[in-house]
Amino acid sequence: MEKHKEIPAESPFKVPERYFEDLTGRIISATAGIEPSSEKRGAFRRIRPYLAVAATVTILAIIGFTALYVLSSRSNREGRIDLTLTEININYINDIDLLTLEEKIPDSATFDRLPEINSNEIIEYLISENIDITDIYEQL
Amino acid sequence: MSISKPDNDIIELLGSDLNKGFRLIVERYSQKLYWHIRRIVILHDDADDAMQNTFINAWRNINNFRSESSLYTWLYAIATNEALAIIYKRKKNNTVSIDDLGSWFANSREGNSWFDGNEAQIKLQNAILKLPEKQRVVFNLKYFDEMSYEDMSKILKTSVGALKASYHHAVKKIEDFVRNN
Repeated sequence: MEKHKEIPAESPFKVPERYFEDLTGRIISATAGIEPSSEKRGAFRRIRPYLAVAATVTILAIIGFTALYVLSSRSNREGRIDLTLTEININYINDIDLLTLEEKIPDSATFDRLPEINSNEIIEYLISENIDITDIYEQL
Repeated sequence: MSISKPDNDIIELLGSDLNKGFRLIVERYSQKLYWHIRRIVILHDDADDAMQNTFINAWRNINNFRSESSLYTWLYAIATNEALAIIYKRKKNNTVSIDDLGSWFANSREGNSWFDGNEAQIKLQNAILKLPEKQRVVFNLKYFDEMSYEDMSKILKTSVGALKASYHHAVKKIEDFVRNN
Protein backbone atom coordinates (compact mmCIF):
# COMPACT_ATOMS: atom_id res chain seq x y z
CA MET A 1 0.00 0.00 0.00
CA GLU A 2 1.71 3.14 -1.07
CA LYS A 3 1.38 6.03 1.28
CA HIS A 4 -1.90 7.82 0.66
CA LYS A 5 -1.19 11.44 -0.22
CA GLU A 6 -4.02 12.75 1.95
CA ILE A 7 -3.09 10.59 4.92
CA PRO A 8 0.13 11.69 6.59
CA ALA A 9 2.38 8.88 7.73
CA GLU A 10 2.58 10.41 11.19
CA SER A 11 0.09 9.26 13.77
CA PRO A 12 -2.76 11.66 14.35
CA PHE A 13 -2.71 11.17 18.10
CA LYS A 14 -1.80 14.04 20.39
CA VAL A 15 0.44 13.88 23.42
CA PRO A 16 0.48 16.09 26.50
CA GLU A 17 2.60 19.20 26.24
CA ARG A 18 6.30 18.65 26.97
CA TYR A 19 5.69 14.90 27.27
CA PHE A 20 8.77 13.90 25.32
CA GLU A 21 10.96 16.51 26.97
CA ASP A 22 10.36 14.98 30.39
CA LEU A 23 10.21 11.37 29.20
CA THR A 24 13.86 10.38 29.55
CA GLY A 25 14.06 11.69 33.09
CA ARG A 26 10.87 9.90 34.13
CA ILE A 27 11.99 6.60 32.66
CA ILE A 28 15.39 6.82 34.34
CA SER A 29 13.62 7.59 37.63
CA ALA A 30 11.32 4.60 37.13
CA THR A 31 14.32 2.30 36.75
CA ALA A 32 16.14 3.72 39.77
CA GLY A 33 16.37 1.15 42.54
CA ILE A 34 15.92 -1.75 40.12
CA GLU A 35 18.97 -3.92 39.77
CA PRO A 36 19.61 -5.47 36.35
CA SER A 37 19.62 -9.26 36.57
CA SER A 38 23.11 -10.65 36.85
CA GLU A 39 24.90 -12.50 34.09
CA LYS A 40 25.20 -15.67 36.24
CA ARG A 41 21.50 -16.16 35.77
CA GLY A 42 22.20 -15.62 32.12
CA ALA A 43 24.44 -18.67 32.16
CA PHE A 44 21.57 -20.73 33.50
CA ARG A 45 19.37 -19.39 30.77
CA ARG A 46 21.94 -20.51 28.22
CA ILE A 47 21.90 -24.11 29.38
CA ARG A 48 18.18 -24.18 30.11
CA PRO A 49 17.24 -25.34 26.60
CA TYR A 50 19.68 -28.25 26.90
CA LEU A 51 18.26 -29.13 30.29
CA ALA A 52 14.77 -29.09 28.78
CA VAL A 53 15.88 -31.46 26.01
CA ALA A 54 17.56 -33.76 28.53
CA ALA A 55 14.43 -33.78 30.71
CA THR A 56 12.21 -34.57 27.72
CA VAL A 57 14.43 -37.43 26.59
CA THR A 58 14.51 -38.83 30.12
CA ILE A 59 10.72 -38.71 30.42
CA LEU A 60 10.26 -40.39 27.05
CA ALA A 61 12.74 -43.08 28.00
CA ILE A 62 10.86 -43.74 31.26
CA ILE A 63 7.56 -44.00 29.36
CA GLY A 64 9.12 -46.32 26.81
CA PHE A 65 10.63 -48.61 29.45
CA THR A 66 7.38 -48.63 31.41
CA ALA A 67 5.42 -49.61 28.30
CA LEU A 68 7.97 -52.32 27.56
CA TYR A 69 7.71 -53.63 31.11
CA VAL A 70 3.89 -53.68 31.06
CA LEU A 71 3.75 -55.48 27.71
CA SER A 72 6.44 -57.96 28.54
CA SER A 73 4.60 -58.89 31.73
CA ARG A 74 1.61 -59.95 29.62
CA SER A 75 3.67 -62.02 27.28
CA ASN A 76 5.10 -65.51 27.70
CA ARG A 77 6.89 -65.44 31.04
CA GLU A 78 9.29 -68.23 30.11
CA GLY A 79 11.18 -66.02 27.70
CA ARG A 80 12.00 -62.40 27.18
CA ILE A 81 10.46 -60.80 24.17
CA ASP A 82 12.30 -58.05 22.42
CA LEU A 83 9.87 -55.55 21.03
CA THR A 84 10.60 -52.51 19.00
CA LEU A 85 8.58 -49.40 19.70
CA THR A 86 6.62 -50.02 16.49
CA GLU A 87 5.67 -53.48 17.68
CA ILE A 88 4.71 -52.05 21.06
CA ASN A 89 2.42 -49.49 19.39
CA ILE A 90 0.79 -52.11 17.16
CA ASN A 91 0.22 -54.53 20.04
CA TYR A 92 -1.23 -51.84 22.26
CA ILE A 93 -3.51 -50.53 19.57
CA ASN A 94 -4.76 -54.03 18.79
CA ASP A 95 -5.74 -54.40 22.41
CA ILE A 96 -8.05 -51.43 22.16
CA ASP A 97 -11.59 -52.49 21.29
CA LEU A 98 -12.58 -49.91 18.72
CA LEU A 99 -16.18 -51.09 18.65
CA THR A 100 -16.39 -50.50 22.38
CA LEU A 101 -15.02 -47.05 21.89
CA GLU A 102 -17.63 -46.31 19.24
CA GLU A 103 -20.39 -47.38 21.57
CA LYS A 104 -19.12 -44.93 24.13
CA ILE A 105 -19.59 -41.98 21.82
CA PRO A 106 -22.93 -40.40 22.82
CA ASP A 107 -25.67 -40.18 20.25
CA SER A 108 -25.82 -36.44 20.78
CA ALA A 109 -22.35 -36.00 19.32
CA THR A 110 -23.57 -35.50 15.80
CA PHE A 111 -23.10 -32.53 13.60
CA ASP A 112 -26.12 -31.24 11.81
CA ARG A 113 -24.13 -28.79 9.86
CA LEU A 114 -20.50 -27.97 9.62
CA PRO A 115 -19.72 -24.39 10.67
CA GLU A 116 -19.10 -22.09 7.77
CA ILE A 117 -15.60 -20.76 7.51
CA ASN A 118 -14.77 -17.99 5.11
CA SER A 119 -11.47 -17.71 3.31
CA ASN A 120 -10.31 -14.78 5.41
CA GLU A 121 -10.72 -16.84 8.58
CA ILE A 122 -8.68 -19.61 6.98
CA ILE A 123 -5.95 -17.17 6.09
CA GLU A 124 -5.97 -15.68 9.61
CA TYR A 125 -5.60 -19.17 11.04
CA LEU A 126 -2.71 -19.99 8.73
CA ILE A 127 -0.99 -16.76 9.64
CA SER A 128 -1.41 -17.42 13.36
CA GLU A 129 0.12 -20.89 12.86
CA ASN A 130 3.13 -19.34 11.10
CA ILE A 131 2.39 -21.18 7.91
CA ASP A 132 3.98 -19.53 4.92
CA ILE A 133 1.04 -18.49 2.80
CA THR A 134 3.18 -17.63 -0.20
CA ASP A 135 4.01 -21.35 -0.46
CA ILE A 136 0.31 -22.15 -0.58
CA TYR A 137 -0.39 -19.51 -3.22
CA GLU A 138 2.38 -20.92 -5.36
CA GLN A 139 0.68 -24.32 -5.29
CA LEU A 140 -2.66 -22.93 -6.52
CA MET B 1 12.19 2.56 9.26
CA SER B 2 15.92 2.41 9.15
CA ILE B 3 17.96 3.58 12.09
CA SER B 4 20.11 6.52 11.11
CA LYS B 5 23.20 5.34 12.92
CA PRO B 6 24.22 1.93 14.18
CA ASP B 7 23.92 1.13 17.86
CA ASN B 8 27.55 0.10 18.20
CA ASP B 9 28.19 3.27 20.20
CA ILE B 10 25.47 2.30 22.69
CA ILE B 11 26.68 -1.28 22.94
CA GLU B 12 30.24 -0.11 23.63
CA LEU B 13 29.02 2.36 26.23
CA LEU B 14 26.97 -0.37 27.93
CA GLY B 15 30.17 -2.31 28.29
CA SER B 16 31.96 0.52 30.12
CA ASP B 17 29.14 2.46 31.83
CA LEU B 18 25.80 0.70 32.07
CA ASN B 19 23.86 3.73 33.32
CA LYS B 20 25.12 6.08 30.63
CA GLY B 21 24.55 3.44 27.96
CA PHE B 22 20.99 2.89 29.13
CA ARG B 23 20.28 6.62 29.21
CA LEU B 24 21.43 6.83 25.60
CA ILE B 25 19.07 3.97 24.70
CA VAL B 26 16.16 5.86 26.27
CA GLU B 27 17.05 9.11 24.51
CA ARG B 28 17.40 7.42 21.15
CA TYR B 29 14.43 5.06 21.25
CA SER B 30 11.78 6.41 23.62
CA GLN B 31 9.90 8.48 21.06
CA LYS B 32 9.93 5.81 18.35
CA LEU B 33 8.77 3.16 20.82
CA TYR B 34 6.09 5.47 22.20
CA TRP B 35 4.47 5.92 18.81
CA HIS B 36 4.73 2.22 18.03
CA ILE B 37 2.96 1.41 21.30
CA ARG B 38 0.44 4.24 20.96
CA ARG B 39 -0.73 3.02 17.56
CA ILE B 40 -1.51 -0.31 19.16
CA VAL B 41 -3.15 0.78 22.40
CA ILE B 42 -4.55 4.15 21.17
CA LEU B 43 -4.95 5.70 24.65
CA HIS B 44 -2.09 7.90 25.82
CA ASP B 45 -2.19 6.72 29.45
CA ASP B 46 -1.94 3.09 28.36
CA ALA B 47 0.88 3.94 25.99
CA ASP B 48 2.72 5.74 28.79
CA ASP B 49 2.33 2.70 31.08
CA ALA B 50 3.54 0.31 28.40
CA MET B 51 6.50 2.59 27.69
CA GLN B 52 7.57 2.61 31.33
CA ASN B 53 7.20 -1.17 31.50
CA THR B 54 9.18 -1.59 28.29
CA PHE B 55 12.18 0.30 29.58
CA ILE B 56 11.97 -1.23 33.06
CA ASN B 57 11.96 -4.63 31.38
CA ALA B 58 14.85 -3.64 29.14
CA TRP B 59 16.85 -2.32 32.12
CA ARG B 60 16.24 -5.52 34.12
CA ASN B 61 17.48 -7.64 31.25
CA ILE B 62 20.21 -5.35 29.97
CA ASN B 63 22.94 -7.79 31.01
CA ASN B 64 21.23 -10.57 29.07
CA PHE B 65 21.11 -8.63 25.85
CA ARG B 66 23.31 -10.35 23.31
CA SER B 67 25.22 -7.86 21.21
CA GLU B 68 25.02 -10.19 18.23
CA SER B 69 21.28 -9.42 17.99
CA SER B 70 20.02 -5.95 17.17
CA LEU B 71 19.21 -3.54 20.00
CA TYR B 72 16.51 -2.06 17.82
CA THR B 73 14.61 -5.32 17.27
CA TRP B 74 15.15 -6.34 20.90
CA LEU B 75 13.52 -3.15 22.17
CA TYR B 76 10.70 -3.30 19.65
CA ALA B 77 9.96 -6.89 20.66
CA ILE B 78 9.66 -5.89 24.33
CA ALA B 79 7.51 -2.87 23.46
CA THR B 80 5.20 -4.93 21.23
CA ASN B 81 4.67 -7.50 23.97
CA GLU B 82 3.90 -4.80 26.53
CA ALA B 83 1.39 -3.12 24.21
CA LEU B 84 -0.34 -6.39 23.36
CA ALA B 85 -0.47 -7.29 27.07
CA ILE B 86 -2.46 -4.11 27.67
CA ILE B 87 -4.87 -4.95 24.86
CA TYR B 88 -5.44 -8.45 26.22
CA LYS B 89 -5.87 -7.11 29.75
CA ARG B 90 -8.46 -4.65 28.47
CA LYS B 91 -10.39 -7.45 26.78
CA LYS B 92 -10.23 -9.59 29.88
CA ASN B 93 -11.48 -6.77 32.09
CA ASN B 94 -14.11 -5.73 29.53
CA THR B 95 -12.91 -2.15 29.78
CA VAL B 96 -13.25 0.41 27.01
CA SER B 97 -13.28 -1.11 23.57
CA ILE B 98 -12.12 1.41 21.03
CA ASP B 99 -13.19 -0.01 17.74
CA ASP B 100 -14.86 3.10 16.39
CA LEU B 101 -12.53 5.97 16.81
CA GLY B 102 -14.79 8.40 15.03
CA SER B 103 -17.57 8.24 17.56
CA TRP B 104 -15.15 7.88 20.47
CA PHE B 105 -13.27 11.03 19.51
CA ALA B 106 -16.50 12.89 18.94
CA ASN B 107 -18.23 11.81 22.11
CA SER B 108 -15.54 11.53 24.72
CA ARG B 109 -13.57 14.30 26.29
CA GLU B 110 -10.46 12.21 26.28
CA GLY B 111 -10.94 11.32 22.66
CA ASN B 112 -11.25 14.95 21.77
CA SER B 113 -8.12 15.84 23.68
CA TRP B 114 -5.89 13.21 22.25
CA PHE B 115 -6.68 13.25 18.56
CA ASP B 116 -5.57 15.77 16.03
CA GLY B 117 -6.39 14.28 12.68
CA ASN B 118 -8.64 14.79 9.71
CA GLU B 119 -11.51 12.62 8.52
CA ALA B 120 -9.24 10.54 6.30
CA GLN B 121 -6.99 9.73 9.25
CA ILE B 122 -9.97 8.73 11.39
CA LYS B 123 -11.16 6.43 8.63
CA LEU B 124 -7.72 4.86 8.29
CA GLN B 125 -7.39 4.38 12.05
CA ASN B 126 -10.87 2.82 12.22
CA ALA B 127 -9.91 0.46 9.42
CA ILE B 128 -6.69 -0.49 11.19
CA LEU B 129 -8.59 -1.14 14.43
CA LYS B 130 -10.72 -3.72 12.64
CA LEU B 131 -7.64 -5.87 12.07
CA PRO B 132 -6.66 -8.63 14.52
CA GLU B 133 -4.02 -7.38 16.94
CA LYS B 134 -1.00 -9.06 15.42
CA GLN B 135 -1.99 -8.08 11.90
CA ARG B 136 -2.44 -4.52 13.13
CA VAL B 137 1.10 -4.57 14.48
CA VAL B 138 2.42 -5.85 11.14
CA PHE B 139 0.57 -3.14 9.25
CA ASN B 140 1.72 -0.35 11.59
CA LEU B 141 5.35 -1.45 11.47
CA LYS B 142 5.32 -1.58 7.68
CA TYR B 143 3.18 1.44 6.85
CA PHE B 144 4.15 3.93 9.56
CA ASP B 145 7.60 2.70 10.65
CA GLU B 146 8.63 1.44 7.18
CA MET B 147 10.34 -1.49 8.84
CA SER B 148 11.88 -4.26 6.77
CA TYR B 149 10.25 -7.68 6.86
CA GLU B 150 13.52 -9.17 8.11
CA ASP B 151 13.53 -6.91 11.18
CA MET B 152 9.82 -7.53 11.71
CA SER B 153 10.48 -11.26 11.57
CA LYS B 154 12.93 -10.96 14.47
CA ILE B 155 10.49 -8.88 16.51
CA LEU B 156 7.38 -10.98 15.96
CA LYS B 157 9.11 -14.38 15.62
CA THR B 158 7.20 -15.01 12.38
CA SER B 159 8.55 -15.93 8.97
CA VAL B 160 9.07 -13.24 6.34
CA GLY B 161 6.64 -14.98 4.00
CA ALA B 162 3.87 -15.01 6.59
CA LEU B 163 4.48 -11.33 7.35
CA LYS B 164 4.28 -10.40 3.69
CA ALA B 165 1.02 -12.29 3.35
CA SER B 166 -0.32 -10.72 6.52
CA TYR B 167 0.52 -7.22 5.32
CA HIS B 168 -0.96 -7.90 1.90
CA HIS B 169 -4.26 -8.99 3.47
CA ALA B 170 -4.24 -6.09 5.91
CA VAL B 171 -3.90 -3.63 3.03
CA LYS B 172 -6.76 -5.32 1.18
CA LYS B 173 -9.04 -5.18 4.22
CA ILE B 174 -8.19 -1.53 4.87
CA GLU B 175 -8.75 -0.52 1.27
CA ASP B 176 -12.11 -2.34 1.26
CA PHE B 177 -13.12 -0.65 4.52
CA VAL B 178 -12.14 2.82 3.35
CA ARG B 179 -13.94 2.31 0.06
CA ASN B 180 -17.16 1.13 1.71
CA ASN B 181 -17.32 3.64 4.56
